[in-house]
Formats: sequence, C-alpha cells, structure tokens
Amino acid sequence: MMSAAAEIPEPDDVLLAQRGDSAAFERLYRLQAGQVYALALRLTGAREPALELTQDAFVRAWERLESFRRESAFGTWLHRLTLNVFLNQTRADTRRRNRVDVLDDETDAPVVGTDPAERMDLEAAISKLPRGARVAFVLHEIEGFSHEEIAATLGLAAPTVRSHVFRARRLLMEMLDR
Amino acid sequence: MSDQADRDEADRLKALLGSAARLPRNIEPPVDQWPGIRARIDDARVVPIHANAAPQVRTPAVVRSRTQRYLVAAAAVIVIGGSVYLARSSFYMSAAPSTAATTATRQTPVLASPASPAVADAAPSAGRLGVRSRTVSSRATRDPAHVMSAFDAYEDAARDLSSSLKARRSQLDPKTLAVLDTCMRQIDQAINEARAALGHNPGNEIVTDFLRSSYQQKLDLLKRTVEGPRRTL
Repeated sequence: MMSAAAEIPEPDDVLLAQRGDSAAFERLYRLQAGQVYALALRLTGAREPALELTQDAFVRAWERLESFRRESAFGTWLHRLTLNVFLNQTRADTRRRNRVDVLDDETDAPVVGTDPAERMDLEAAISKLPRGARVAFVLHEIEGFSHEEIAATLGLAAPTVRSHVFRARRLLMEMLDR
Repeated sequence: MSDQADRDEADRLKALLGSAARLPRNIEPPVDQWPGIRARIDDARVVPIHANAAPQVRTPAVVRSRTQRYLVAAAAVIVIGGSVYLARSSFYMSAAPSTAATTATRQTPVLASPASPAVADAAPSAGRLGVRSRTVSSRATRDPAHVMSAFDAYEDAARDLSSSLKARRSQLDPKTLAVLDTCMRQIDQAINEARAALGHNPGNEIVTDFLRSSYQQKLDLLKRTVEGPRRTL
C-alpha cells in the first residue's frame, strides 16, 4: 500500500529527470509503475503485453520528459502517454495485418468457456472482452473518458465508441451471469 | 421485456458499472521493469525528443465522472486514510522508528515454488518480516500451482505478522484498532474473492496480479503497524 505522500512525485525528481538524472527517473518509476501497469493490464488484457507496454511507456516518457510542462500532474501526463503508446502499437499491429479500423475486432470474438463453473471476477471478464470493446470500456467506465474524448483519441466517431461500450457492457453482464 | 425485467437489467448494469469504477487504480507489476527500462534509456539510440510531440493532457476534473470520483475517493479514504491514521496514532509515537518501513511498499514475498531457494527467503522468520526485494522467476509466475504455493507463503507471512500484532493489540488505541480492522476486512474480502476466482479460473494472470496486489497491501499494513511509523507520510 502506498502512502498519500508516495502517490505524488517529488517535483524535484521530475526536474532532475528532465535534466537527465536516471536515478530521479527511477524514483518516478517506483511511484508510478503500479498505476501504469494497471492501465496497461486492462488495455491489453494479459500480463506479458502489459509488462511490455509498461516498459515502453516509461522509455517513451524518458524520451519525452522535456515536453512535460507541468500543466497537469506528472501521473496524469504519464497516464495519457501510456494510452498513446498503446494506441500507436495497436495501429502498427493493425497496419501489419492490413486492417483499416484500429478497433475492428470482428475476428477477436471473446473466448468464453462453456463450463458454468468458469465464473470470474470483473477483471478477468474484462480481459476476455474483444479488443475494441475492452479498450472502449476501460477508457469510458474505468478511466472516465467521455465518448467524445475517446472518439477523438482513437479517430473514431462517437457513436462507434458508444457502440463498443454498449457491447462491452452486454458481454460483461453475460459473462458474469454465467 | 417487462417492467420488472427492465428494472432488474438496470440494477445489474448499475452494479456492473459500480464495480468497474471501484477497480483498483494501482496494480504493482509482478516483475520489476526498471532494469529493462534502465538498459533501454542507457542505450545511445534513445535520445530526448523535443516538445512539439507533447501528449495532450486533461485536468483531473475532466478525467473522471463525478460518481467515479466519489467511489475512488471512498476507497482512498479507507485505505490511505487508514494508513495515515495508523501512522500518526500514539501507538506509533511509542514505537521505534523504522526507516525500513519507507521502502516496505516496494517489497513483496517472492513468487516461487516451495522447492526453490527463493521461497526459503520468502518464508517469514522471527526477525525478518517475510518480505524481500521483488524477484520473480518466469516459471513461477506462469505455473498456477507455483503461484498458489507462493500465495500460501503470503498467508504464512500474514499469519505471523497478525500474531505479532495480536500480542500488541492491548497497547493500541481503540480508534486505531477500529481503523485497522476495517482496512483488514476490506483487504481480506478482496483476497477471498480473488482466491475464489482463481479457483474457478486457475492461471488467470489478471486475477493473479490482483490477488498479489491485495496480499501486498495486507502485508504492508500489518508490517507498518507492527514495525512503527512511516517517516514519509
């Protein structure tokens, strides 16, 4: 458990890290890794890609520290940067598969076991959502983004995002009712 | 669909969204990522990029809905508030300061099998509260049987710490005890739910991480209560 004080990076650490102090950046990593990993785990739905995304996000943060202008909390900036890294990777994967829609998940239908004993908690159920529905649900229902904000971020129409969220809700209720 | 069915559906949806909003915002990575990050940022190919690529940011007021903020705040009050209260209680003032507690949140019992050398280190001993730096073998993190064995080590460590705490309960302020017990009930409930979920779905990585995080919270709270004040609060 982290203390209230530990949730807030020391301003000097951000400044020191911006000047190239990797020890200060390590302290920032220690403070923020849990929040970044939680977001990464929910966006990717599995541990290994979440660990990779966490590492990629911190490396990208190091690269772009100069652009952090303290207009928000460092954690907020890092949160958004993690999401951008995820979306960039998703777009790259999509291009490799010659697919158009970044959240096109027709082939990512959820694999839900038929065993009625396979009840799971909400986290596990979210991890089994198709990618588009999972990302939209995580961003809207957990991270608190509006449909319009998600649409702008993902380059989709707001009704499409609403549709993804709606679909995620239905699938989750079905999975959790089993 | 009947009105009653509509109401039931709405209730279920409300419960689902409430649960989603209450999901933990912090899940510690099962593996320390810093060595890999350090190696990459030390690589000459990684160079700073200038400001024109700044990611857009939002203010916290935009980030979360009002309901979500209330739920997150309620959870934070219980967990963080409990920690702050405990840290500032008179009990702590009479206890010996411990700089080790400052880094306690960054330590965890090792996820490894009982047969591995690492588990011997993870097992609690009288003088060393059953925690050590995070080192995880990939085999241990993937094998459900090994993972469950490691969680047994968490249970053992928590049991020992609880015994130590039990012996000192009479010295604690009743308000302190009430806060501690409330926090512990919340954490134990989360642990029980996660263990039940793992029972139905062994090897699920997300539930495993959630369970580990819950155990870390429990051990950290117990450890700080037994050891003494945190200077960084």
